[in-house]
Amino acid sequence: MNTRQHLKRIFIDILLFVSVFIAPWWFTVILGFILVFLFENFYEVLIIGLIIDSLYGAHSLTWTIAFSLLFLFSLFVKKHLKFKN
Amino acid sequence: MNYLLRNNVLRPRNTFKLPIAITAVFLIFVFAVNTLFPSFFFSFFGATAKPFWNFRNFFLNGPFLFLKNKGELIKENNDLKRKLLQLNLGKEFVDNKASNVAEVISRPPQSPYDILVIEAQSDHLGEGQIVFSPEGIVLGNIIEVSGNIAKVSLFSSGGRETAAHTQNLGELVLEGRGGGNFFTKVPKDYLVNIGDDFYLPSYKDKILATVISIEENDQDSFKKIYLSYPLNMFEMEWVVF
Repeated sequence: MNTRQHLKRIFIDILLFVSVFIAPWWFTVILGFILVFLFENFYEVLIIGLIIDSLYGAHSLTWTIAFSLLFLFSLFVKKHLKFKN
Repeated sequence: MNYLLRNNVLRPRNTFKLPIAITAVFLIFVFAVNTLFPSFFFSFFGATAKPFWNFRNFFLNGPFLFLKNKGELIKENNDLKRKLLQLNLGKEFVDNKASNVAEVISRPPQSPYDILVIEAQSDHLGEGQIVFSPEGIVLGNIIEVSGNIAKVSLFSSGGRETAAHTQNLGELVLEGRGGGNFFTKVPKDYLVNIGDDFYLPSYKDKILATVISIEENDQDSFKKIYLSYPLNMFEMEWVVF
């Protein structure tokens, strides 16, 4: 990744982390869902799932597990997509 | 004659190993911490989130107040007076059982479940405390406390079952459906009307939910009853507990 890509990812990360605190939950979930397929190894979604569970869940880790599975699923999908490097 | 290589030796193999290992370690770490210190993540992320929540509430509630016209200011003044009155009424209404006021700093639809995050004096907050709206409607109970913020699980959380009492039918179990809604079934011959109130057995003078819709058909021997909190939970700003 070059500097521009780094900056882009940092900006996206800030947007994602702010959205989990101030935006409706579905906005963050959709954003995470899109970003996990756009960026390489987007580990940030794991943290986002944990934040949603910690702040808005009732002693459950539903979103942490869901985002972990989504992350792993995205690895396999991206490998088999022709337009993805 | 040139032959293609059987395998592309330049293509990295097992590129999944590292991400899968990191995910596994992350999940093990989260499960371990969540089991040993159940409130750790809520404390950590709650402290991080608080400035954002306060900023959002401040931003939504009026940094541009000076730009509003006189009519809007009068309307807002009246709203504030009404809220103050409601708070005082609420305090009287729940006199001995609840007398602390807390500000709601996060509410649905921000949370995927029916969870409120409230802020109050830390020495007043305790797990299991019942939370009311200022109008005296029973909302839920505190499930997690960290410093001066606490999580409130509403009785309407999806799948949560709550015993409720009503004058006509006695005791029933209401099932939470999320978004401040409840559901229950009763035999067809039971008398229920739209607008009937349900109460918690331990707080028989405080409304839990109101019947908003009844569904019945000839094939079913039960009728479906849909209820909801008699307030707009998406605009809740204060609670008492």
